[in-house]
Amino acid sequence: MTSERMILHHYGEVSSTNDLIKEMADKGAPEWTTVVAQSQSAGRGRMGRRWHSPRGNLYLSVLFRPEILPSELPRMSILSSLAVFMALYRDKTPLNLKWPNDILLDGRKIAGVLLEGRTQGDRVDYVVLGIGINLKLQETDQAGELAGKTAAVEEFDSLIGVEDILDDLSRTLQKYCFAYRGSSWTAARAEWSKHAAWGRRSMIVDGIERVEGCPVKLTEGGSLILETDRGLITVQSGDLVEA
Amino acid sequence: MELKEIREILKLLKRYEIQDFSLQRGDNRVRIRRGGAVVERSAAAPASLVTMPEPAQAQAPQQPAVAEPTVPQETLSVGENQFLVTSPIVGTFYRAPSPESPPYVEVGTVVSQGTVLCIVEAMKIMNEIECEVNGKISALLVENAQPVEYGEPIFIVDLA
Repeated sequence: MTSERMILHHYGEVSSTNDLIKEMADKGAPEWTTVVAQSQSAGRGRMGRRWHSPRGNLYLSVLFRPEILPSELPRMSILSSLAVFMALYRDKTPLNLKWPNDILLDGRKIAGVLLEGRTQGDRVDYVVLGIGINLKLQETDQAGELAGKTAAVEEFDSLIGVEDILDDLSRTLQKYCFAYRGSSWTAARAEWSKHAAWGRRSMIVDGIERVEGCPVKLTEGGSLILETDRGLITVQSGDLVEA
Repeated sequence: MELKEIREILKLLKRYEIQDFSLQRGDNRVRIRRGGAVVERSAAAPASLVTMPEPAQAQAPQQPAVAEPTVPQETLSVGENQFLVTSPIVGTFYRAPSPESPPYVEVGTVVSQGTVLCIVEAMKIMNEIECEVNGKISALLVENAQPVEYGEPIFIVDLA
């Protein structure tokens, strides 16, 4: 089965779609190799955090081998989240983007992206793009620490199926994930900025460090500029949470 | 003087914006001047050359308080049989894939081309850095979860 360029491998449950793709990448799998799973037993987020992955949602990882410099890799965070956003976006749906790569519906997380790169010197070997999209609200999302923090596609489109989303993703990934230079990067950055939630009082939490301020714009490289009491600062990494 | 000690000194000089520093201990002498001046180190052991960048201060008029990441001028020379692994991106250095996992490598770990040494994270891209040479890790220059600049030395590998 293909979704245009994607070379699809469908699975029931896997440990983690990213881990599976990385194994394939190490064995020389081509660009656009894609693993789609119904559930993950060890789904991961940033720094090995658990990504709750019950059946009923969409979990996939796509392999890219972009001709990009390691220093340009952070742009993939902006580009891939824009691609997922555009695949889900419908007119008048209150979807927006949160730096660097979360997709929110009414402030609740509807999709997340985990990017893992492999570089040697100034050469990028590959980039694995892991995507988790909540299709249905799960009972487990309504309790505990996830309560009120998650959203699902069924809230604004109850008819769309996995195949439709894969088709849309194939198109938007093709459009945005290679736009890492020149005017196409400028345009993609502007598009991302148009759909981002700006001006909300937020905190960057990075380990034990916390900085409070309002996100105001992206830098040329895609970093976040935060307006704080001490002036504007540039943020390279960390979690953005509402203050 | 151990590299670890020099690393600690560099960190303190950066933090307190000290411009000129010298230390003599027996026959060993280290002098560090900030702003591109070369560090002198005289000792029986092979010399290391280190320069410190000025703190970022030149800012674009339209963005008065924003400091874009700059390429550091810090350099660290290593011996002929050593290889310096540097960070290819600005980000946060991690020794392990998760806080619970063991580090990818330790001092003394034998590595080969393609061995994953660490992660440098930037904007939630977990970027695994592979070793470019065969050898043994002889120094770890950055602590876990610390920010690194583009080109900043992170490991020294003794070549096989």
